Amino acid sequence: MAANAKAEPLTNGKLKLMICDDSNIIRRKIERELKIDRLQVIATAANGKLAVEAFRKEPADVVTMDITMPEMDGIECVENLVKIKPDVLILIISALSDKATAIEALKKGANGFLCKPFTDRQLTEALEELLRGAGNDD
Amino acid sequence: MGILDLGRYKGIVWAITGFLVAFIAILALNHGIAGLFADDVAGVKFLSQMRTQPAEIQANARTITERLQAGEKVDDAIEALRSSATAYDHAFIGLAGGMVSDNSGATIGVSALNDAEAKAMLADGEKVWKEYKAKLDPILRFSGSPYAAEAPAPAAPAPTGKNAAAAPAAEKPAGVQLSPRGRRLQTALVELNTFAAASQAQLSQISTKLAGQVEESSKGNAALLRGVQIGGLLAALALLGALFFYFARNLRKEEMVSSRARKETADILRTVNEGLFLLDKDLKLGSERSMALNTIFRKEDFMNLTFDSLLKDIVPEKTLKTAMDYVALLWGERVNEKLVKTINPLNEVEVHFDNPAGGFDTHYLEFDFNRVKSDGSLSHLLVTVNDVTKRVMLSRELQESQEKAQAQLDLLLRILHVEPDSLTGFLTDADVSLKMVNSILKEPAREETAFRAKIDGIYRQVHAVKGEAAALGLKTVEQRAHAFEESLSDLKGRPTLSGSDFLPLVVKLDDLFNHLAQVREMLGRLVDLHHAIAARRTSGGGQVEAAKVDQWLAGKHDQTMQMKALPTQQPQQEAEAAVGLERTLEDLAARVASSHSKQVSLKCTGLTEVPESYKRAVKDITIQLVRNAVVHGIETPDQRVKAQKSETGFLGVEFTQRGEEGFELVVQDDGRGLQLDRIKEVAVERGLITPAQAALLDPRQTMALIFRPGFSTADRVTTDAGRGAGMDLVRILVAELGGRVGLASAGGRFSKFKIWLPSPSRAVAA
Amino acid sequence: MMTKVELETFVEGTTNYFATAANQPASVGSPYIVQEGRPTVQEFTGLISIAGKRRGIVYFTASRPMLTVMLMRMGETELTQENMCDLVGEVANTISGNARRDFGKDFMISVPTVVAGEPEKIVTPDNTRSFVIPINWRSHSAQLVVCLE
Repeated sequence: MAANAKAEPLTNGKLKLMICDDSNIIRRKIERELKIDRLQVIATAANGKLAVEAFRKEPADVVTMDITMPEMDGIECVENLVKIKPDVLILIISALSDKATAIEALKKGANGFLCKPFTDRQLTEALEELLRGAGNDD
Repeated sequence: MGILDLGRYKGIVWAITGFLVAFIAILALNHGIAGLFADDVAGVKFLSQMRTQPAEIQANARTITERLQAGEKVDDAIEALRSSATAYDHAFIGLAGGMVSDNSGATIGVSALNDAEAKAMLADGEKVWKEYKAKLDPILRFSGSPYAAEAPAPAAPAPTGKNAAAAPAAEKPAGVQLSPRGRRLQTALVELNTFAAASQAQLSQISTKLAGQVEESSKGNAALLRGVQIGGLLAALALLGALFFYFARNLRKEEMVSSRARKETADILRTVNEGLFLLDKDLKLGSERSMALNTIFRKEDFMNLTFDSLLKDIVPEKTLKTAMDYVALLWGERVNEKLVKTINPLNEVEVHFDNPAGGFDTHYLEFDFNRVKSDGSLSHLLVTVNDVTKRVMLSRELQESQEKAQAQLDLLLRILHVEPDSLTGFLTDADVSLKMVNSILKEPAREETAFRAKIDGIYRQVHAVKGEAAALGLKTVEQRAHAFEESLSDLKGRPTLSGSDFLPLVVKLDDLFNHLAQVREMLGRLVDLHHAIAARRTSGGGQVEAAKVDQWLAGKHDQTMQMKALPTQQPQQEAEAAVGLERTLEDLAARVASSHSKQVSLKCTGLTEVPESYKRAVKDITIQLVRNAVVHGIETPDQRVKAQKSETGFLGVEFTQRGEEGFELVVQDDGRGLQLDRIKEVAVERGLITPAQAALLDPRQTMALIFRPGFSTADRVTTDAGRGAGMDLVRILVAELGGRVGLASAGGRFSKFKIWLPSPSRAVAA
Repeated sequence: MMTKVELETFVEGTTNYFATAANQPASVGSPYIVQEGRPTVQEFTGLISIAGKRRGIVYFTASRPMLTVMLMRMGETELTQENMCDLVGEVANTISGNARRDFGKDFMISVPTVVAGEPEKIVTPDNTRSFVIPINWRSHSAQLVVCLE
């Protein structure tokens, strides 16, 4: 997996966001409720495989990622995305059925976790926290 | 940190600045005084040179005199005299202004020349020199040749060695002819020589004295310089000492502050309720931790413990693995600490501690992890542990009670078919019973006996409620009353009793009150629904809109509709109350029979004749007896067939007036009758009698055992029977009314309970 | 619905105070329910309000003679009105502390207020039964009243 993707910033200076979730409702909800000016949705993907393809063409700066998806699940997808662009920020958005799975995704390189179902405010806060910096706690 | 914001280093910066300023000041002073000292030295040198100048002038004048005598050329000698006189004159002018010239020609101020004594001396010298200059003047103005025209030009320079001897000015060599101007020069020279000889001592003395004075001042300056140097050294030492003291004091202060901080930390760690510890990179527990950990983890020794070994024995393996993964993630730089808190696997984790008395103690612990950074990099994880068992239990209780509430509603909806008037009657009675329970509770009690005395009374009330609820098929009420009874039995078995033990009772009582209120509300809606349906019927074929019915069902009472419906309802109510008990008993018998796989047919007579004041008691008694008969008396169909009886058992309830005196209530069945041996066995098991006593009992005495408190022949405790309160209750109710109980039974054939009750007026009199 | 754990927590908070501060344990009397009307209020009452999952009040009410003896047992010589108010306030504080410890996340618990006399100032939520738990101490009897929706 060569890091052959071209990472051109958007002309308006915003960060690029990709939404990856097999539920159309969730994808639309995230798109609709995105209240952060610094982010612009450049792609949505219904499974991990599509997400990786889209990411190769145009890597996003920030990704929201479901875990249970057909074709390629969120954990494998995270692993691939991080290989392509090591500084990508990934927020896992998943129902909290199994903490061990969520932790697995974090081990592969995701930065944070948001539990489904989430409110508009929780989403905004989580994304803002994500942008504040991975690994930063102050 | 801003320039002026020096923080804790302010003291040091000020001290060092002070030291440097003092040092520079001393150096400057030293330098200044050293300069003065050099000036004085130059002054002394200048003055000693000046002292020799008059002699030089005199020597030059003498040279001119000698040249004249020898007839030699005098021009250059006059020039020499002029130069030495000018130098001396300049020296005087300078001295008058307190200035001297050093070797290089620069002028230097000498302060010592400025005092009054020196000035006076200088003034004297100047006066002499003025006269001296007057004598010099004619000589210095001389130019040309002093000799007569015939005088030969000097053939050779005068031997220089000759002028060392000071010859008298008048002496002249033979053959030299002076011109008149030459003679005048000679005269002036003679005068000058005379004056010079006379004044030289004076001038020289003045110079000497001045030099002495300057030297004196120079000595003073030297002393001052030494003083300044010593003073400076001392000041520097003092400052150094002060600095040292200052730092020592600050160090001590800091030491005190940090030791206080350490003590505070220790205090906090000792007293804080939370378990606190630090984890290092190797996941080892730090040495500083709160005492609460000991209580939470039930151990004293945490030295060199790893996080892994702390949890190993108390959480399942899978949880442990997930937890270790999670902690490892926190050490990584990639995850955002705040965004992973929700998946902390140790947030409310169930742990099990070995109980020394056997088994496990289950607790719930809450772990919280926070990154600790020092110098910008992650150094530790701060772990906070809380025992949240109570909280978890409480939230479970809350959740359970919510679920229960949901279940209640479902059940209530299912029992909507219960006859509304029976239900109303039950609710009224139950309310009275529960209020009675509450007033029993309210009786003040301090001693154990007082607490124990309450139990039986409460038991009877609750048992009656349970019986009626069972009869109506109100499962939810019955279950609650049953649970209440269980608590009471539990209390009865306890060796000691106090008010705290009664707390569960009030909670259950409250629950029953609540529940009955819900039933009442449901009943209200049910009645409305009945009326709605009735109204629909009377209005002839579904004229009432379906929406109205929906409204009633939703609990929105329509006043006008209710008013319209009520009058038709009213007259029937009396008759229905009696029919109510009959139906209650029928329902009860059928329900109990089906749950015991039995068949029974109930025949009631005369129940409408029960006087108002006995209704309650008769209801309670018949419910108990009917239930008992079905559970204990009637056999299963195949047993009955074997005994050559019909499959369906017969059960009769009969209420009749017995003359003026009173009433008779008979409840009989065609079942197996009372089994005397079984009754004896149970009585012995229950500790009511000893085996020896059992052997001596006759049939009548044996039958009486079933009325003893605590007797029950049912093997399992169920809501239908068991517990033994049933017959005891019958006995008490009858006794309260002043009646009697009779019992007849034939093994395999029947049992017959005959209860005599006095007429109400007599009962009151009795 | 009131739960056993809740009730026990409040009772424990109260008895704790007697065991530790008044140097003599109190015993719990027979608890009962007040359905309608006001539960007992004596001369001095320390009260906390509760919000969150449950709403209502919890109070400890005691007579002057009882508080007098308590103060004396605690070594206090000034048997003033202020000190008695202080004392019931302290009991309420202990109850609140216990409740905070056990149900901190579910309940919001106010700081204690003290009422001397004036029972009309103590308002229980409408249509809510109150639990009254007598607290017997020496020959005296105080009440812990728990009234939560």
